[in-house]
Amino acid sequence: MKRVLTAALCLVLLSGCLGGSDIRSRAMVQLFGIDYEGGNFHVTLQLFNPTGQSDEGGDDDKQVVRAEGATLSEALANASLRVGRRTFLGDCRAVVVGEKAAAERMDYILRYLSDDREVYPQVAVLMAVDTAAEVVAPEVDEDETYLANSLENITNSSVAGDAQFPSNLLLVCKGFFDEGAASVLRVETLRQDGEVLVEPAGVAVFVEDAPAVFLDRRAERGLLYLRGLGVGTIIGIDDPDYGTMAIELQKVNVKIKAAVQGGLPSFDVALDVQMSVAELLGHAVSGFDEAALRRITQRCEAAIRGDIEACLSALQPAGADAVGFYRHLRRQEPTFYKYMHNNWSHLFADASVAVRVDGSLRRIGNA
Amino acid sequence: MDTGIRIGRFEYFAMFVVARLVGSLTFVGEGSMPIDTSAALLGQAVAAGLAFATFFLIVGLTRRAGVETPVQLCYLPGKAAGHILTAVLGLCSFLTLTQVINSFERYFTATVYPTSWGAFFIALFVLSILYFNHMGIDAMSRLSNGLFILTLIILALLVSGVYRDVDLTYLVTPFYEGVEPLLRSVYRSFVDWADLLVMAMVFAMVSGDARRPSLHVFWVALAVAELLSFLLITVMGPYSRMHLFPVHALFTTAEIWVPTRVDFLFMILFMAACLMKAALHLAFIGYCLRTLLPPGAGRYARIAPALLAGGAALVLSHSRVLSAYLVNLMNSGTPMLLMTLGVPLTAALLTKITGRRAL
Repeated sequence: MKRVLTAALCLVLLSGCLGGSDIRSRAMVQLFGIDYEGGNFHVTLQLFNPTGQSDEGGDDDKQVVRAEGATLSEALANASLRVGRRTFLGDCRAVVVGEKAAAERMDYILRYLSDDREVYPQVAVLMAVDTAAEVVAPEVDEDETYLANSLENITNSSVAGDAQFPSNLLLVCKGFFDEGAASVLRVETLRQDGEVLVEPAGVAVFVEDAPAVFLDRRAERGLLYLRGLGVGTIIGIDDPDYGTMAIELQKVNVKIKAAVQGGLPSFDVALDVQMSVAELLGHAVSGFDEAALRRITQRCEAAIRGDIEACLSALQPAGADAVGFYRHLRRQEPTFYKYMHNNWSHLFADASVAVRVDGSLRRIGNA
Repeated sequence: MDTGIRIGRFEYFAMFVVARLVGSLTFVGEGSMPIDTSAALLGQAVAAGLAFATFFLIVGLTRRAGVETPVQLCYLPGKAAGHILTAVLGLCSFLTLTQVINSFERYFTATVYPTSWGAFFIALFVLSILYFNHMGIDAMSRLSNGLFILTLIILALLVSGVYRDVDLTYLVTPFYEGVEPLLRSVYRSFVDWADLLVMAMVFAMVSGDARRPSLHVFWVALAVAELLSFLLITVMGPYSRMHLFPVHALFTTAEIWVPTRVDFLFMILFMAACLMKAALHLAFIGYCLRTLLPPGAGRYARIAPALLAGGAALVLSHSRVLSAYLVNLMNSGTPMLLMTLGVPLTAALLTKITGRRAL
């Protein structure tokens, strides 16, 4: 009897549901938009509404709430009052920061998200080209609001895939609160023929707490390669013998050697890229001849090098080390870096970066 | 702590590895800079070596004096000296116990249930360690077997969840900021081995030769600490600086095949480690009090310090100033150094000077 009572007491006291609340009493935030205007934060929340009756998981089970406050806590508290339930960020898929909020309050926003025990470090952090509200829940007309499901798709591929630029809270904070530069994926809302679409729009790179460089899709790919990512990226090639073909990157290895020459840092970047033919229309071949193979490989290498050069030519003038060259220098030339790190932005702008790409076509797919 | 009881060698090893986890799970980089945490990797290794030497110094002094436990060593110079030295040991252990309860309460009310009532966690924790002590050290040691295996499984899950995010470029030479951060790290890690004297007490209770399992405690605890620090530096980078419990934050970043957050694994590990460490210290305080107090008062030797430590932790949870005092006192290393070096060396020295063997 004593044991049964003890077990029953343990079940009641140690169930782990202390402070738990019913799912219906929570406003489960799926997308969290943050704008900053007139000294106030304006939040736009796309909520999952578990009381929705939709069988097909359409928009009936979603709801949009807008609120504002002097701090994010106040804005979320106001949103909770408006919806009649306490907001819960533990299931949030993406946080979208408006352009003005990113320019003026990014440091505060990242610290707030990191401090919040509910927010998952792998949550996608994105930057809107204009306002976050326009991305999270753009108004289609006076009565209707478009619920950005496509944003969830971008978020998913951003978190899981290599071809999409990774932009989550952990990675952004690592860049933002260290001596390098944080890079955040940008998204924008496009309206075409009554349709509303949310699309990726390059990458914003932050220097000294504010966005300093905006990379286009090409430079964004370059940044991916420099970080050893980009698997799954497709490169289109027009070959004189085989016509149009698509080459898919299978593996990207990057090695960065740092040195100091003439008082300035220099970096040797060596990329080892393995590729395969993803698409080759109208040619049933069992393999390429040696000259064609070399030609195709060289074209891919040139395309990759071009993307990297586009990235570096955007980053270096702004002193925005989004790649993390400083960490290689700190490891390989610690004495130099220790005395020069306060001036890293300027040093990076003057650093020489030599890029070598070695590609190899491993598989020819269905060709 | 009934020194007449015998426990197995593996149980002894598992018990102290699990207890030692408290320090590793509440790891903060020296000076809270990621560069300095690279110094911590080397610092921890040196500190483990020093702790190993200190432990065998205590055991050596005890054995050489022909007694079984360090408390018996305290009584060799005389009864009065024995009382004073034992009281110092009990007080230092009490401070460690209070710090563990305070840490436990702070973790739950800051990270897991921020709006909850700290007294509830303190009460539950105190009841648990009292129950542990009521069951006896042999029951605690048997439980530690399971906890040790659980620890290994949780660590394996953590590694499988974060290994993809390991970025070795965050590692720098430990001497990057010179020797000072390294020395600070060695000292900080060394004074974190507050369980050495309790370990030396339990050493006498192990059936068979306890030297080999003692050696294993040091290297296994070091390996766990190094693994967690390595992952903190290479996976979290500067993100770890933004958290009160960075290892908990590390667990939240782990993505394993279970489609949910796995930070609850940290909670399990932390709870187990705190329980084991606190229960061991309470058993030791009880032993000291039973030695000091008249036989009739011995029955309160565990309940009273547990309630007092719980009360102190409750006061600390409401006072940031007092809490900071305790943290600073423990970080200064005074209680640990008194327990592991001050008291045993004083006892040995007094015995030599007086030439008395009052035991």
